[in-house]
Amino acid sequence: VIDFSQTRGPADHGRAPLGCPASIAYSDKALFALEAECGAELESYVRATLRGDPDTMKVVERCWTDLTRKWKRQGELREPRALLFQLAHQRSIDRIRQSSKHDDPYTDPDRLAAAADRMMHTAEFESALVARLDVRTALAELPDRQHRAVLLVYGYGLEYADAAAILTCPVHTVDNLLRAAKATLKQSSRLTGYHQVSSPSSPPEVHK
Amino acid sequence: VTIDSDSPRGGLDLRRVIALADAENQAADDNQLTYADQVQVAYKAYKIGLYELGRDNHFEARSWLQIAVDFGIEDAQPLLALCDAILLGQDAADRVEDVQADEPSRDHAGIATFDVSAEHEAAFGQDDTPIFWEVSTDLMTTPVETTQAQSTVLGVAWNQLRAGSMQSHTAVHRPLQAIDIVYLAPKLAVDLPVHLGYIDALMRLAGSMYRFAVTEKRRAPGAETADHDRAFDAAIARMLAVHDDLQWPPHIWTPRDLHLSAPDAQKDVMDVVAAWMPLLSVGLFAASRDIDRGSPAPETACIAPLTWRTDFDLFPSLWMQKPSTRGFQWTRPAAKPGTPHLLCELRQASARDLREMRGGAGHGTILASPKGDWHTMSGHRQSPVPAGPSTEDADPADRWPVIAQGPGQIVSAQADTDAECSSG
Repeated sequence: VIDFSQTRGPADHGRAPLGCPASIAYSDKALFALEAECGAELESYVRATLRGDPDTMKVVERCWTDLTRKWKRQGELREPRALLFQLAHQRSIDRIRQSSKHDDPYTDPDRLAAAADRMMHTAEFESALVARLDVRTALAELPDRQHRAVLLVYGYGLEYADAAAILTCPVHTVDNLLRAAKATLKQSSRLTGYHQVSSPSSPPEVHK
Repeated sequence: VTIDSDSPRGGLDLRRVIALADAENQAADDNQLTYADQVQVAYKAYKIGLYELGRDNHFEARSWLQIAVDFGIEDAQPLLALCDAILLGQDAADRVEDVQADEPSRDHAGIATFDVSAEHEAAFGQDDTPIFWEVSTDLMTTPVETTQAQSTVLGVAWNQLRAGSMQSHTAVHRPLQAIDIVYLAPKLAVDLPVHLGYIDALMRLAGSMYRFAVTEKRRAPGAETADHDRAFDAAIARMLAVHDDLQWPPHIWTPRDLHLSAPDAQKDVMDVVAAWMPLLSVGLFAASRDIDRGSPAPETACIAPLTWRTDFDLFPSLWMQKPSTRGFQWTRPAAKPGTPHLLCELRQASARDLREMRGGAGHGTILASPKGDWHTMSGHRQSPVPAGPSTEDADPADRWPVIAQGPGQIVSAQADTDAECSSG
């Protein structure tokens, strides 16, 4: 079993900074393992981004081909999964632009609704008074990076690592962005008046 | 996960993906320049080279022009040669300055000491009437008669050599300058790379000329034993030794070889000098051959004054850009003020022009001096024999008639001269 998320340990000191993922040598077995691990997520992400584009599978295949080319050429990759999702994101955007839709994957109303749904069921927003439409509106007004992080994690259902790969940032930055997004939402005028639970221990705040 | 397992999702076949990746990687490895790419590279390099040349960045220009030449742009070759000449000239100037600083008094050990001191330059400029002019005038005004005309050609060269030898001690460097005059018939130049037999013949011709030089020098009344004369003899002896020892041709010298050898020739690397000798004699041979065949005069003459300095380096470039059509006339203007001229005139003189020349009418033919100045032939004297500083050089044709009966066959008309010639 190849752990594609393993990080570099002390034994690898000197080859790369600590905390960096260990390099994974290319082999057909490793490629198949990666496909088994994240192939479904990648495909669903591309499908969601391209919204029923008939060439979705071509884009997916292109992503895998690009990854395989680079992996074979370099012999080893440190984060093949992250590279795969970056490729998928870029290829999807290319495809969207190619098809002249000019739609930003971050403005997809379906994904926005899905993100609002999932956000409403988080602990921070567990309130029956919160309307989905209000959350969607508030989400659209988030700062760009926070908006993207929310949409990737809650809208497209990506793991933090995959979202981090697409946002080209560390995983903890995604976590920080999501926290910041929730804090922003709490302060949003769209959601004013609803009970919001910031933490289980603190009493619920009452907004006028 | 097993390799043999099929992809669980429809449409994605990892085996196909791997094959695609392999093919694309292979294609990337095999990626080569197309012809269009090469043309683009060549002309971009040529363009940049021209730009740099115009800004006097000769070193930069040379690298770009070299690329252009390598990619097959023939037009870049003369410019490349120009850059080389300029760079060589700069190097030579720097070298001379260094040498002068280190060795204020140099002995005259022969042509191996390449003297381009200021005194030499001054002397050269004063007494050295453009030698090509002397010879060409001589040719123009000499009646068409084989022996006389040819002997005049050689005689003038010898005369100049001798005159220089008598005049100043710097004349120890004159032997090679004396044959710096090249009458390069374009037709012959075109044939030259093909008919290497000419080179052998020319080599013999050059050797004969030097033998004459030696013998006449020994026979000349009042041959002084001055240092410079001894040095002159030593230089000639060395030249002959190299000439005799050289198994010509050691290999086929292409114009590029010759051009690359120019720096060595400047340093008097004797093998290289020997390799250059036949080329320097091409003009003499061509002129004599044309006259020998009964032509009124060289119909087409490329008069390239060659010296041991910048112009010398330009010779291969002139040769390389020889036109294949007769009557092509061009003069290359200076790339910009201060840039040395490429010295060449290629001219097809019509019969009318020839008559005018023989009649002494100035025709305004532009010739370039070794210093890069432009001269006209009009106004110069039209004596059949250029007057040397000594009156004993009245008519070399009377003393050294030489007949070139064909390639590789040099015959002296005079028994004594012939004997001395054959004896070396």
